[in-house]
Amino acid sequence: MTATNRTKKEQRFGFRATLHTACYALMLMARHQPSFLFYLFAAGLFEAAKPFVAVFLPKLVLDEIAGGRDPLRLALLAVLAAVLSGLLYWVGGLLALRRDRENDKFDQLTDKLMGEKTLKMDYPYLESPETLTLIQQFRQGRMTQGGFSGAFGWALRDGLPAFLTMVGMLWVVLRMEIWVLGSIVVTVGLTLLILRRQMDAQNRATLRMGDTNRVYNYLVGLTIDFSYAKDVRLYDAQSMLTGKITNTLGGMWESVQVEYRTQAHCRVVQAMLSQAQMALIYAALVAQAVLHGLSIGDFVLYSGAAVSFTGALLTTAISLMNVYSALRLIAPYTAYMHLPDLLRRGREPVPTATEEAAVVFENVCFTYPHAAHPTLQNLHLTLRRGEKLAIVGENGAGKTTLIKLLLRLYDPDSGRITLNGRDISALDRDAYLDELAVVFQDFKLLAFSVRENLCIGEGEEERMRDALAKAGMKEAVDACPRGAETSIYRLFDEEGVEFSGGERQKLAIARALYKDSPIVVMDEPTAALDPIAEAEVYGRLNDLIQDKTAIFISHRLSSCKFCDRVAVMENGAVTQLGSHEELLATDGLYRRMFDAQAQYYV
Amino acid sequence: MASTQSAPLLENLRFIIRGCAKHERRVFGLFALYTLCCALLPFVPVLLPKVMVAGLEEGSALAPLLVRAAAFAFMGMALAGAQSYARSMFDDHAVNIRIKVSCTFYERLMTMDFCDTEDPKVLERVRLSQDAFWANSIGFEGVMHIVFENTGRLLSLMGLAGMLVLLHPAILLLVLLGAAASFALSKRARAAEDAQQGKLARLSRQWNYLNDTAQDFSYGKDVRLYRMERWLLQKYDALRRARDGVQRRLKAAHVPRVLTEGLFVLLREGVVYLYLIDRILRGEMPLSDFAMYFAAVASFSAQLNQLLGEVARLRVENRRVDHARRFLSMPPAPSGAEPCPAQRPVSFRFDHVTFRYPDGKAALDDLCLEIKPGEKLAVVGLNGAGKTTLVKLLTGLYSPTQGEVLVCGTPVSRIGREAYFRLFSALFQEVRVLAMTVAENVAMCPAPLVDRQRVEQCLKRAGLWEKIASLPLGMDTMLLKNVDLDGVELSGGQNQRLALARALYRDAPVVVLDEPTAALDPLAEAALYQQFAALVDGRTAVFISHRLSSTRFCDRIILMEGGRIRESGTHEELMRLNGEYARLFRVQAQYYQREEGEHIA
Repeated sequence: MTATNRTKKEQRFGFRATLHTACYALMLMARHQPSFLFYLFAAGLFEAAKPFVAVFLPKLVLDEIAGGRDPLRLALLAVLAAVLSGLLYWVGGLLALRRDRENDKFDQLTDKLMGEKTLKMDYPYLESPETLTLIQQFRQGRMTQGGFSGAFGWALRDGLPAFLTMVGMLWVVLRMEIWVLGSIVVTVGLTLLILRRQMDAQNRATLRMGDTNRVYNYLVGLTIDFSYAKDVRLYDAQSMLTGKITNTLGGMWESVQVEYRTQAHCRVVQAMLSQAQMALIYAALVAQAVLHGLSIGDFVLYSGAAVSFTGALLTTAISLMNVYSALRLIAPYTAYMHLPDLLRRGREPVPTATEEAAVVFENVCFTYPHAAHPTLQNLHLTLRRGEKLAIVGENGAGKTTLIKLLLRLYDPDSGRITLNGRDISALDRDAYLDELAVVFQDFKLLAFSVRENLCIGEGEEERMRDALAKAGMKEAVDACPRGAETSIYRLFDEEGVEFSGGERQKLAIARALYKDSPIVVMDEPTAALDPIAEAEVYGRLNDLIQDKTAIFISHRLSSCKFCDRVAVMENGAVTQLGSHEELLATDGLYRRMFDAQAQYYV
Repeated sequence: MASTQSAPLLENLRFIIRGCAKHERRVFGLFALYTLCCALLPFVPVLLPKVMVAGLEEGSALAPLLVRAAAFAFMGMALAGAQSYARSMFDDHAVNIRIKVSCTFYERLMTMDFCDTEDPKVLERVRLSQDAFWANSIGFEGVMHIVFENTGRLLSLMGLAGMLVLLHPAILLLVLLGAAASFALSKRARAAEDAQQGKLARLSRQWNYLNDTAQDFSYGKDVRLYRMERWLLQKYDALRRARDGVQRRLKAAHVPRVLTEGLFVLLREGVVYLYLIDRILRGEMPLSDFAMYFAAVASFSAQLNQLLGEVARLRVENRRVDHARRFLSMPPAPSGAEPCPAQRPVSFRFDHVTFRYPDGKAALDDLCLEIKPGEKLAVVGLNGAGKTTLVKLLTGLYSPTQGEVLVCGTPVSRIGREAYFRLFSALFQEVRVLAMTVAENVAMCPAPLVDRQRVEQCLKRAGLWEKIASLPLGMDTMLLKNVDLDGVELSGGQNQRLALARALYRDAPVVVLDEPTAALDPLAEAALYQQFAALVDGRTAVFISHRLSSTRFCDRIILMEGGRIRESGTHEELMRLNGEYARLFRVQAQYYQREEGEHIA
């Protein structure tokens, strides 16, 4: 088995982080869903009251039997006991149903808030291994102990009423004689010591399992992810994977055996202790009764209260332990939700176009966080208004990074990028992004309707039809059973359509067209198309772009022929700039790349 | 839907017991011990108060009472200790058994017929089966725990029922009646749940999709550029509301149950109090029995309710096990038994091969094709022409619906599946890198079996050695970050070279290349073509590509259209034919003319 080593990237979450998570969760409840807090406590209160009926009413009955023996009073007591039990059951039961519903809702709320954070946080986080690690740690932790739902839905559900019962019973317990109290204190103390030992063992086991679990889940995921099925079969990978799964499990098994054994011992001792405790309480009370006199009613009250108290205390402790470990495991959530802003946030409006240059990269340098080498180095590039510029270069030359900086997904380390003469980082981000429409190489469509995908919500019918027509998707969409309301993929809609790779690419182009921004960027827009479809897209390129400013990035130098100028990138800088013909006439990277492709076509 | 199928409990239990017997027989002994303790232990808290109060009533001396308390203590400690021990040991073994059985499941996933991995019905079954092995409280292990814990409970219930009969049969009847009502009503609530189940499952799937998408970092660029956050948050809210609506209905279905149960609690408490008070007032019963019977009634109804709840749980978990059992009892992938023909280079013949997907759509239509020993064949055509299906049939991933594929004259269906797979080195457009070491990724076998020298050689031939050698751990570097957070992620071109090294290491007699360079820049693509030449040297090779450029080093080109071969011949022949191939070629070539008038063909 491969050793997996923890690194500095993986944060450890201890007591403070757990406490912070608990406070954060309570804050979320108070702010977004106070009803959950209310029902949690209300249901807990009614649940906590049940043992009191069971402890006090028998005492009252027995006292009456020992004393007045008034049948009417006894009957009233019996009815009181029955009605109280029934009421508590009714109200408590209904409140619990509502609480469980609120809990489900809260779990979804935490999902949504995390989604919102991911959707809104500064882009560099999305490419940082630290952020990914936080998410992975959170998911792993949630799987192990149930996350918020595990902490509040299960652990606290039992713990809160137990705690309230315990506090209430304390009132009775404290009236007992000192040696009864003493025997309770001693056994409870011992129980807590054992619990603590058990909890430590459990935490150690969880910690040890964590890494192995990740490996195990990954391996098992491989067997279920059928996109690996071809490779697994053709390369006989199943024996390797089965071997690894077995080994990982063997390792997991071995690594936690000691802890499991400790936990098992603790449980055995604790189970025995609780029996001893019960007998001891009765013995102490019997002693009190025989030596100092104690009515049978009081005896029943005290014994019931003591047993109930110790039981509630144990439940409280175990529940607290579970809440703690569930919250500790999802402490990465809190850390994730509190990641601070990274990028500059300008507020200025976008200046109107006056100059000939639309976008200018001035001496831009950029190094990815943690990268050893800069990706862009003293890059100069001017995009003229209305021109079509092709950017070419080998994989890793910095083409995509340039687009990321243009989109303000990252801020340059030095130098600046201007739009109509203003530094883009000074501009209001939303207004600025309205200026740009990009079809990314790895564009993503979502499993909602074609209309929603194009318009990002409701949108305008006319404009959408126009965009579809220009992208060459009008016929294909009209042919679908529900036209533009047809869902992409079948997830949300049984009648959804699985568009082909080429059609999806056209939809992505249509989405960019719908945005109708003055600057259009296409990053490998034809990668998934076959030659005929590719030719078709190029054929209508002028229609698509019209008089807009456009940047094309492509490995297929074919696209360069349509562009006014070609910029060749090498090692993070523009090394050649000129028209297709000019560059072909020059001995350089462009000509070499063109020849490499053209050789097959001559 | 598969979940409406009846799930025979006995058959599933037998399946589980067989798994236990195979992997860990000790669980049966633990089961017996636990059940015994479980049956007896509930009587300790019922009898202890009675004995104590009876002693006080009789005015007994302290010493004998203490002796009795001690006796109870010892009895309780012995039972509780043994019970807890049996439980812990069982839990430990249960995980182990579940995991061992799950290994069979995962192995099966990797060897099942490839065609099934694309069948939505099978995928649904796999998805449902997966739950059977996922965690310790559900599915396979869930059923184990339910049976383990409740058999003893059933016995103790019988004992307590005996006590209640002694008290008064009507009281037992009342409690049973309450339980029956509660059971019937929760059954109704569950029926309501089942009715919503499909909706709830769909909502969950949609929620998971939305949540995974929102949290999928690869969507980040589009999300920001198109400012999708408001739209997606609205979707979140809509789904959350829809789910809460379903939850409200589900919980509402439980309201009659709660109300009825409460009513029976009220009746039970009232009747028991009044009856006990009456008996005591009449002097027919000692005070000590009051506490005992109370404890007995409470314990009986609590345990009965728990048992009934567990019956409901058993039903759910049994269904999961059922899916898994049915999946595992599916016939294994069809495989012949004969060894592969030893003839090299290998030849193939497609004899009137038709292939239909499970939905009946024909991807290949009566296709005849001869691949000569050592021939380099290029397959071209538009998307959806059937190129990839052809490759899947060739490699034995699919079996023909009609007709036959023959290898060196022997029908593929007669040859052992795995032996046949060993004929191929395949490179696909998407490289499946595994989160393991570089060496394991190249050799595709466990680390101790890797021929390290050969890995180095293959990496050198694939042009990736320089990069790998520059890493501190060399070929022992972990790839990807899924397993090792310090794992290395290679670029697209490097991944393709890694796949090439994998194919070279495999050294199989037939090479299949399915658009392996689609994502590469021109120089990397040209360089990789050079290396392919080394890979295919002297072997039979099939090359699929959109870009006709790549076909030039092949002996023959076939152009596919609508699941058939439309044109076949060398580049020159096809250009002379001036058909579809020539048209495709020209469409692509037009971009690469240097000057006006330099038209090709």
